[in-house]
Parts: sequence; structure tokens; C-alpha cells
Amino acid sequence: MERDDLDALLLTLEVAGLTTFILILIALPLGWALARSRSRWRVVFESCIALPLVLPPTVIGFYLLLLMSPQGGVSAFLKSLGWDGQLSFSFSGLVLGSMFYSLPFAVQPLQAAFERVPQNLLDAAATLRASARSIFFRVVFPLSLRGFFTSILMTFAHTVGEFGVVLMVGGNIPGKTRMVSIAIFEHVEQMEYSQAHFLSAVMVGFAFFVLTAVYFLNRRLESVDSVRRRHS
Amino acid sequence: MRLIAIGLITLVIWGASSSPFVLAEDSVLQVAVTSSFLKPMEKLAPDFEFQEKTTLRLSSGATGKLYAQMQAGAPFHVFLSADSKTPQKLSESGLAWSESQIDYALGQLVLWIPSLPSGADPISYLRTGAFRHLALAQPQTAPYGRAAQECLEVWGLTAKLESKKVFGENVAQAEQFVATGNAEAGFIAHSQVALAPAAHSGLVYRVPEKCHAPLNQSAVILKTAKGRERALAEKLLKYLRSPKVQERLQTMGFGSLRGSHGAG
Repeated sequence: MERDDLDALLLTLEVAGLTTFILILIALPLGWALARSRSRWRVVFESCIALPLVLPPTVIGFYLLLLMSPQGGVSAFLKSLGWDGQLSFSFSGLVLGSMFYSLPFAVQPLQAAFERVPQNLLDAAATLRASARSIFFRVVFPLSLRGFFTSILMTFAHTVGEFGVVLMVGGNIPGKTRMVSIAIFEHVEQMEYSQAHFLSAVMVGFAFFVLTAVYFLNRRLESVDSVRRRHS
Repeated sequence: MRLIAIGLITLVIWGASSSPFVLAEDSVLQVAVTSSFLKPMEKLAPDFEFQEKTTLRLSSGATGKLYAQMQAGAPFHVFLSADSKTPQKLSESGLAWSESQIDYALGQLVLWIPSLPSGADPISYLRTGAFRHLALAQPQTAPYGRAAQECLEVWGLTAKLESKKVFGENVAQAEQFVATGNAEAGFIAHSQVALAPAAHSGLVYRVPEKCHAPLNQSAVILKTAKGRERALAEKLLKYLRSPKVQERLQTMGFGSLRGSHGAG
């Protein structure tokens, strides 16, 4: 394997890892609020979060390119906070772009899981004077394990598979913003099919592994859930 | 009864598909155009279509991508490449007629720096390094990117600007990086500027041709072109080399092809 390809793989793992970590932290309160909300604005928020699923990545890439330019809105905002960097063509820019791109994959499984947590269990815990923290860790979290696994794995995998956004705001800098999908694209264009084959095979293997893990864990936890339900 | 109906319908369809009207429609030439030549080609196509009573169907993409598509059996009759190497490769793999290859345009490289006034010295600006990003097309795939790389080498700036380079997939994306303000300077094609001068404010510096290998763009006829299409394809290449078209190309930011090989 070439040095550049190894760099691309490592960079992809870093971007996907950091994106997943930050997104889960954001998706947690967001998913919870959406699951428990009775507001009629809920559908609007849900639609906004689902947008990246149906939008062409080029749309996200185009807006990000405008927003992240030194004259753009995001950069102006960051400058007012005292950060004088540039987001486009940078690692942080990739992570930010990926967060938009993968947002629904983080929020939706969590929201679905939170919706399945029975309200009466939460009420019971509250009447027993459990703190919010212990309600979360001892009631909500164990019952939403499936959602957490799915959310983490799918966010990570989807970010690894990102292409359009990275192509548009990354600038294809080896070792800095050249992710695996871009590296494959380049190899194909340069007619270096053996390298393209290698990286593509790695991607197929990885995607298969992640999806199998998701389905396997869902099955396992489903049976755990049903056993638990029978005993409760 | 049913058999007769089916027979009739078949006859009608067969008749329709071989009627003279449809035949006229059939004289469509599928042209694969490298993305940097799409706009000039769109301007040149109508005259030819009118002359030959034909339709040119233009598909654009990066040269390398079009090459991969043709390897996979894409039904193009003519290929207008951004370089001369890729058409050669097509001939070598038996997909194109090597004797049909001609140069149809000579690319010219420019350095665009919107923040500088026209007339300023772009190279000393690059030398100061007082900017964040320099955009160029991917040198491995895009001829203009390679030429830019060669000029930086000649100017002794390769090492200095290594960390400032950002790569567009092609010159169009390099241009877009500069146009959106994400990069302060960029190497692009002169034709991009010539076709939209108003969109390129600031300094547009014509890079001296001697600092890079010439950007000869070659065309070749593919073996999928047979009979009438083959004849049309040959006419198209002749049309592109005609003095009239070559003159128009110079107003669109291409160089003069004098002295380079081709059908002439």
C-alpha cells in the first residue's frame, strides 16, 4: 500500500471518529427532545434533521464552500470569537461538513430508541425520587442500547463513505483532507486500477462488517429486550 | 386475430424506425469533451450542426473519467481530450483510430489573483507567501495542474508553497475555489477567463508558455463511429482545425497551433 493511501485511510478514520463522538453528544439531547416533544413544530425539526438524507451532497458542499470561505458567515462568526483560521481545506472543515452530512444517522436511531422507552417507567423512577442522572443511566440508557449502537456505528460508517461534501470543500490535500473515497476517485481517474481495487475492497469489507455488526447487535439486544419485558 | 394485431404493431414499429424521418434523426454524433473544452465546444457546435445537418451530443467530464468510460464501452464517436496522451492510449488499446488523432487546441495557463490590481507582479506575490491557499487542478489527472506544478518548479517555489496548495478535481474546481474566496490565488485556464471576463476581477496573469510543457489538446475518432458517423467525425475534426475555428478559439483563450502536428 502506498504512503498516500495509508494516510487517506487514517485520516478517514480520524474524521469519522471525531464526527461520531461530537454528533452523538449533540444527537443525545436532540433525539430526546424530539422523542418527548408534543410541539407541532416537531415535524419541522424532524424534516430539517432528515434533509441531508435526501439532498445531493453537492448542495451541502456548495453552501459549506460559501459559508466557510474567509468572507463567509461561519468564518466571520469564528473571527468574532477570536479564531482566525480557515475552515475550508482543513481537518476541522471536514469534521464540520461531516456533521451536517451524517446528522440524521446520529439522531434518528436515538430518537426511535427514546420513543420506545415507556413513559410509565420514567414516572415510576421519578416517584421513587431518582435523580435525572440516574433515570438516564439506569432506565433510559439500558433500554436504548440498540439505538446507541446503531447510531454510533451508522454515523461512523456513513462518514467514512462520504464523498461529495469532501470533494467540494476538502481541496484534496494528501494527508490533510484527502479521504479514502477521494483517493479511490483519483486512482480511477489516473487509471491506477490496482490501487483503486485495493482501497475499494477495504471499503466493501468495512461496510459489510459494520452492517453485520448493526444487524447482529440489533438481534441480540432485541432478544434481550423481549426477555426483559417478559420479566418486567 | 391477436397474432395479426401483434404482427401489425411490429410492422408499424419497424416501419417507423426505418422511415426517412427517423434516419435523419439518426445522424447524431456522440462527442466526449473534456470539461475544460465544453463551453468553447458549445459555441462551436451550432455552425457545424447547421453545415452538416447533424446533431452533436456533447458529454463532458474529466479526461481520465471519460477514458475509463470509453474503456468500459461508452458509445462515443469522437473524443476531445485535454491532452494528447490519453487519445494515444485509446488507440493503443484498439478503441480508436490512431491515424485520426489531431491537435485541435493549445491550452494557455493563467494565474488568477483577485486581490491584486492588474499589472502587479504575481510571482513576487507568490514569493511573499502572504496568503493561505493556492488552488490548482490535480496535477496527476489535469494537464493544467501539471503545467502549474512545472511553473512553480521553474520559479523555485515548489517547496515554499507546498503547504498552501489545494487541489481541484479539474481547472473548473480550481477556479471555483478562487471565485468563492476560499483560495486567494489559483492557476486556471485562459479560456475560462476569456469566456467570462467579468467574473474574473483583479489580476489575471498569462503564464509564459516556456515554463511548462505545451498544453496540446488532441482529438481522436473512436472505432464505434462507422459509416456515416465516421465520415461526420472526420468532418468535425477537419472543422475544428479550419482557420476560421482556430481563429475563434484564439479569441476564446487558446493559443495558436502553428507548428504542431495534425491534419492542418
